[in-house]
Amino acid sequence: MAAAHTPSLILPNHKEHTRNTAISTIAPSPRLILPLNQHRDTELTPCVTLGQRVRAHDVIAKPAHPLGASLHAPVSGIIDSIAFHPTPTLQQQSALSIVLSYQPDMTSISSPCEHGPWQDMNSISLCELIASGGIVGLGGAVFPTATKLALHAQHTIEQIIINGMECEPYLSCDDRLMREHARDILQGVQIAMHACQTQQAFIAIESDKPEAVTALSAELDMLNDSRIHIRVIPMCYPSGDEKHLIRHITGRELSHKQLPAEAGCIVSNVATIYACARWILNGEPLTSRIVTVSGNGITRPGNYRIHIGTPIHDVLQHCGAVYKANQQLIMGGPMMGQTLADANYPVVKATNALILADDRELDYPSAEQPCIRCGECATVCPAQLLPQQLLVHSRHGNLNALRELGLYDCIECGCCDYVCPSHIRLATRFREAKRIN
Amino acid sequence: MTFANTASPHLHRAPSVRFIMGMVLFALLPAICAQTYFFGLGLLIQLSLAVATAILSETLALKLRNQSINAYVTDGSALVTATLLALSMPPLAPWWLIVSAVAFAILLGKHIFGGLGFNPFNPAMLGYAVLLVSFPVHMTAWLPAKSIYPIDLNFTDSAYAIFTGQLPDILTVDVVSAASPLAALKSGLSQRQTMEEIFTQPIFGSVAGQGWQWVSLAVLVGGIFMLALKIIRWQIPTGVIVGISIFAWMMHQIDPGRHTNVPFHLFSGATMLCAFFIATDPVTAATSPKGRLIYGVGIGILTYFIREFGHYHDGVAFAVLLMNMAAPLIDKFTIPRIYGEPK
Repeated sequence: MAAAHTPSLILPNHKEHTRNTAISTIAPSPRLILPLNQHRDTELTPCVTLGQRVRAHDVIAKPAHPLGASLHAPVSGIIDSIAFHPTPTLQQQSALSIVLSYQPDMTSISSPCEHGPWQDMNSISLCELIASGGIVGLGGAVFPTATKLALHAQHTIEQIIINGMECEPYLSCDDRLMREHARDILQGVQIAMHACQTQQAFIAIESDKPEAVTALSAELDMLNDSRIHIRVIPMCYPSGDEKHLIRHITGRELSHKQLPAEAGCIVSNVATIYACARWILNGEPLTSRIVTVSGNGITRPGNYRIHIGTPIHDVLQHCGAVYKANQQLIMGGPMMGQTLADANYPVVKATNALILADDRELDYPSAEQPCIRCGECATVCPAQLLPQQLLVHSRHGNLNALRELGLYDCIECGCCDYVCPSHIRLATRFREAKRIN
Repeated sequence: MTFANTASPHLHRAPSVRFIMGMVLFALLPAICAQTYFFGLGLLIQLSLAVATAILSETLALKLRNQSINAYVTDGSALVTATLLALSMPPLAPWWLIVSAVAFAILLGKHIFGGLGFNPFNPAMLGYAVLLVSFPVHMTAWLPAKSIYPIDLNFTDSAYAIFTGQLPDILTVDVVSAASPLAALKSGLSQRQTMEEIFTQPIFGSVAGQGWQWVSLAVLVGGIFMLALKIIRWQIPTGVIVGISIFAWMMHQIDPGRHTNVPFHLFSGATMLCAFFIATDPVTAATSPKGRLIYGVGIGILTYFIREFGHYHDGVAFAVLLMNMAAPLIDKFTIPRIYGEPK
């Protein structure tokens, strides 16, 4: 029974359509929409005015906290409006957004800010520099990276774990990044190690990405940095979950109340580390990201470098989207991503994938049947909960029982839904129960 | 262009409740074949009556409860209940016996509690137990296996017996009351016969009862098929078998003159059917892996004690019902450790 305590779900991975094509860049759209709520826990204040001309990479909104992340103009252009615009955050509400109209004739780029070699900087000023590059967690959490790295002031960081697992089906943006930009990633790791004052780094990669492992290993040999280690972890879902990754590397299990830093760890996505390197080494702030565009509604699936703020319909058009009935548009992976009601939302820093697929490929919600207590959900739950019992208590609104059964330990990975023979939307119920309580 | 707005996850694995129930029925086929071969075509008539009653009762209950008939009748759970009951009936039992057992199971065993998923007791065992208590003679009137009394009872004869309650002339009362091996063992022991004397009776085979041992083996084959397909998990069947075996072995060691051996218990009565098809009903079992092991062991032990020391020949139905009552308690004490909690 011990085996049930590690993630054990093997999902159809659907990565074959995108993982073997090189990253290509999509040209900027005429209008870019940059929501000010796209960094987690960060309030951004615009520092531009209507009609102002900005150069590419100019700061257009600043955080209140020096370790929060700034927002930059992805391209040169004119500030069109600062108004409420629908954003693809979880509730899909409107948020104050800066709309930038792209002016191709204005090619000048903001000169990178002056700083000496990063090796000579102290860790706090390096963290502040990372913050000013607009670096946030690109795995989907969009938490300001500098805030995370600066945790070394309160906790001794024994190791930084670089998450290159990418365990969600369809996604291959991190895979491509590791294969094509291994050197930048390793340099980013060195920068991050310096920023959080640690002497050890582990790059965790799922076993289904042998090319990425080869590329990184080859670069690591050349770099000859014995502090950095590559760990290949067996493929299953959700092995990329932060807490499971920490256990894999350190052997320590964290509860939902504990931060990784309490176990001496900082976990950061490879794309984030890569963005760090581009900023510190080339002076290029986080104004674009790699997005996997896939699904059976896309004729040219692949990984694309896309400017933050690009309207999704422009992306879909570029990738040859074919619109049909019964399609779903998902931002993120099929297990934890969210559907978008239309394609008018912009690409934000959290957009790691866009999937356009119909009900032949993705499930359409079928009618729920009663729970037969088969217990399959409990065998796949990575948090070792009893989803079936949680369901009973969430129906009765029994908050104490829900707490006791670990509602807040639920990571909403969707494994329970995946195996439920009664097609009960368990993860949805648990999300709602958390929100109400 | 607008798209459907649904909550994650957007991927699911195919098997539905219907598929699971279908697989359970499929896994029962070897048992149905073996039992028909050894105990006659009566079983097929019982099975038809059971299925018809199950569908009618299910439809009626769903109609009364204003539920979708299509969605629930087709989930197949009522068919599993019906098949298990038909397999537990003596082949020539009068028609009203199986009809009332199935109707009771579906209406008062399942729907009165809110239908599939909400019934605290295994519906089939509830139906069986009620009938056993009410009509003990009818419920234990088993025929001897064909291998010892080669009476060729054709379909018409069987139907005549089931629908009129009159036994065909070729069957004498003696033959019908020959009873099951478990019953024969019990009555033999109560008449102070020795084990050797009891086992010289023709109804006993090499391991357990003539015919019965092969039916049990056929059930086991179906059970292993379900295990291989992960339709059921190993905890409950293992628990039941271990539970019976431990005590059967201990008692046999202490007093072999009054307590028969482990294989006899495993291949007699409904042991195998219970281990793989009855106790494994997930709705009424404990839910955590550890809880299920405890639940299974409990059923095994209770079955053994009812057989050996109780009034009834077999104890499966009562053991299952008693452990059904204990399931919520087992669940409460076997909540797994949440990830990250101290070990």
